[in-house]
Amino acid sequence: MSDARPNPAPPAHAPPVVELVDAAIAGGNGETIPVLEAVTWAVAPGSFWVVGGLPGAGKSQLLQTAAGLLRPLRGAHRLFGSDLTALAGPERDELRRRVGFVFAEGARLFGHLSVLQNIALPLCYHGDCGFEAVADQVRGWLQAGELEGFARWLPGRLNQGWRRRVALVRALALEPEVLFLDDPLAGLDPRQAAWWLNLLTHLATGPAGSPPRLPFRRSAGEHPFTLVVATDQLGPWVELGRQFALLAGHRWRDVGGRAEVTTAADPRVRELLAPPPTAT
Amino acid sequence: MDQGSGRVRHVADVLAALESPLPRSYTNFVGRWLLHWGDTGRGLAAFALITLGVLLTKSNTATAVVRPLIRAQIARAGLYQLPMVAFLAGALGFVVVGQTVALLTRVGAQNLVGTVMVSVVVRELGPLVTALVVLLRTGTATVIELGTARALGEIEALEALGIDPVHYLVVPRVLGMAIAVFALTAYFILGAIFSGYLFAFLQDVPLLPGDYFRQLALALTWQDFVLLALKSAGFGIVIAVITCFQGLARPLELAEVSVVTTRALVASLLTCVMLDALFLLVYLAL
Repeated sequence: MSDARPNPAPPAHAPPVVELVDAAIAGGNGETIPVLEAVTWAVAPGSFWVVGGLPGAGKSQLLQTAAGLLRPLRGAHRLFGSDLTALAGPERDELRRRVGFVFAEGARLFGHLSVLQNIALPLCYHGDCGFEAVADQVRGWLQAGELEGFARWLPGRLNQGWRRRVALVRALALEPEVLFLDDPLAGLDPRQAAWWLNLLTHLATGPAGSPPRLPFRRSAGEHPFTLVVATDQLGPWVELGRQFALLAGHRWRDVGGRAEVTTAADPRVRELLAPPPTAT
Repeated sequence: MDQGSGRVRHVADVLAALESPLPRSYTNFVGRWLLHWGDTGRGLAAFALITLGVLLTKSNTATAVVRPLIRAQIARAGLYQLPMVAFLAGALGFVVVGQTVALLTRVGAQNLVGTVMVSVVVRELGPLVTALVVLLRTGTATVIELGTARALGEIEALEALGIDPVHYLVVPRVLGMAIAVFALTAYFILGAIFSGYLFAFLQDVPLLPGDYFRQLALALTWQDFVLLALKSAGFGIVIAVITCFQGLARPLELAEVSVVTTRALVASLLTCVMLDALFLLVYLAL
């Protein structure tokens, strides 16, 4: 990854894609005790954030709140400049459609639908059309994800890596403007991890990036994607991410860019940069 | 200081009593039970209103996806249950209707056959037995499916893809079960009436088919058709809303799916019986 191309600058004067102001973040399910306090975070268009933290630090909750899937306990939350807490119904749905999310464990595929149907469902739902109308598009996405061989399989037959890949393709097929990825490399073998890093490099650099070419229909592929990744291993992301944040002690902290993260003296950052401990 | 510690101890006692799995007294037990049912009823009413809102506001949204789901639910809750309903209708016709017809004829009250048939089969047994079949065969599957999907985080995945879970999962089931229970009830009533006459015929009851069906036609009023449609569709809606509510409304662990399935069945059955009692009042007022 050392030959990564220079990243294009985000458009000037564009409002942040996501903005959290003094937000208290809790898990869903009616939890009232925050896992993170006083989070103030702005994600600019075209940026690539990597949020590091040990397991249990609140990464998933932060990402789900930023994506509008959970509501913050306190504080302001704006998505594409609109106050999400004040919106309801179709306006909220419309904003959320501009956000893609790839979950961590199990990738949360629909267990009763095949891989093909998992990818086609959101396209058919939002396009109000039958499968025939999106068949070419779905085939293109299956190809982009190297999933053609599994098209008719139910998710239960796939291993974790392939399942997560289906979840990524399913999210990308809706051509979101910002993509949240919750620990996408966790438990992947080196070959799968390399595929992910290659694809995300392509998304982060826009059309100037190298193949794989992705079958976007609208303008989603013309600009660099806004990407937010949560991870407990910063190592693989150092060359790819542009801004880094740390979650520790119920707090969110902006660590800075690549230079700052690689030279950070904070032992918590060093711990996340170190290779995972192996059994002796 | 002593007063303060006493108050703290009192609060701790109350909390411990509420958390205790065993009730401390009968009033405690009844109180808990009432609070639980009140809370569930409130949640259920809110869920039903949300479903109604989505049904009305999204009637033209994603029709290419939702209409096939409604058809699938009608097939699942209606068409595939037809053999079971036909068997029960036949059995009920032989056991109850045939014997009633034979007895009434024996005591010379064959002119009451129509009234008894309409009261027992059309108004009561038809809708109730059909609802029970749909509850046991489709309602159970609904809670398990939705509860498992909830426990595995598939509902959040739907939301993340901008798909309204109520629109995609609940609305097709409510419409499908309402139509299915109504249609199955009609088939059940026809089956019971025909098999009942067959039983009476086999017992050499001196009642001509023309007389039998004429009496039925005379006993039926237009209100019976309207109320039958409302009642059977109402049972379908009750079963769908309660099973979907128990499966979806709150976060679940996989181990809890069996618990909410039992809860949904009991709640659906009780609500159907209560709805039946409500319709009985309407029939009595006619």
